[in-house]
Amino acid sequence: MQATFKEGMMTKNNVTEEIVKDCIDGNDVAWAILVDMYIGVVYKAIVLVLNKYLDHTDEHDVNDICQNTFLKLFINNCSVLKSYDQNKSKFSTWITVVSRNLAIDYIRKIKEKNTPISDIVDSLHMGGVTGREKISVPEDVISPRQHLVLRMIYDDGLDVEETARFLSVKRQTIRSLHHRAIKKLREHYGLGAGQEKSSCPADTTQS
Amino acid sequence: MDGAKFNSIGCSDRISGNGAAEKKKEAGNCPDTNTFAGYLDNKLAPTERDSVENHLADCPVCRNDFYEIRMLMDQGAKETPEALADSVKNNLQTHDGAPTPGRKIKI
Repeated sequence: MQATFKEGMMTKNNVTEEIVKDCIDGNDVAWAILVDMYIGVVYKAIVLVLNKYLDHTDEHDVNDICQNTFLKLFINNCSVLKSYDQNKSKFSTWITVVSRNLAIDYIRKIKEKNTPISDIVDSLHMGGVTGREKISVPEDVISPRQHLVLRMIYDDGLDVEETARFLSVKRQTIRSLHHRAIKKLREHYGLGAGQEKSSCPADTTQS
Repeated sequence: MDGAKFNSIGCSDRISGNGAAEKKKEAGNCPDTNTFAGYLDNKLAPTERDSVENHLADCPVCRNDFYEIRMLMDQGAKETPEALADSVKNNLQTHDGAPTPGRKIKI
């Protein structure tokens, strides 16, 4: 570990990058630092997921999944840790996704154990959304982002504010994406321009 | 939006760092962990971002994952039990690094 910390300005990402390399090289001190740096992120993700899906969250379960998360990075010659691509995301985001997926896997196992097989088969056939029929969108008529915005608003029932927050954009951007998508779809189906401005049904705010 | 509108929990295809998962990814299924995290961090190239958004538009399970992880990231820190970090470190130091027997855990 001692050789990897350089003098001068280093961002947390740079530091993490060096620590991850040292962990892969089998440096015990680097592993201790990695655990200290990210145990909070892992713990938070696991507690929140268990709280959401289980009636009762057992602290022992949370601890077990935390242990499993770091163990998963460590075992098998660090194959999972090696798969982390520092050019694509921050380590904190990546390990949040990993921890959350392990927590989901744990919940799945509990639910499978306690659920009649017929219910599991039904839930598989249900897909993700509830009973409402999905809107049909022809390919290549609207952009992927416009398509996603329509799904978020019409299939998932999000409002403009929520959609904007999830996509980290301004509300006006969502209104604009929605408007352009509807306009293109109207043209595609030969329905003419329609209203001068298509109002977004999920738009409860003005700005 | 609390995710309760969805019946399923978690995309079963998203696995990271093992061959089977990468083959699934190549077959055009759900984005892998790196790509998903990159999308959440807004660090993907435009073409890759379009590809993820195309997938999210068609996959309600991944959309639910996306909502849930975004909300996790937006939540403030939680106080971590003091002994937990030491316990994790001890476990790593005493583990031989071999894969744990039994069912493979998907991440």
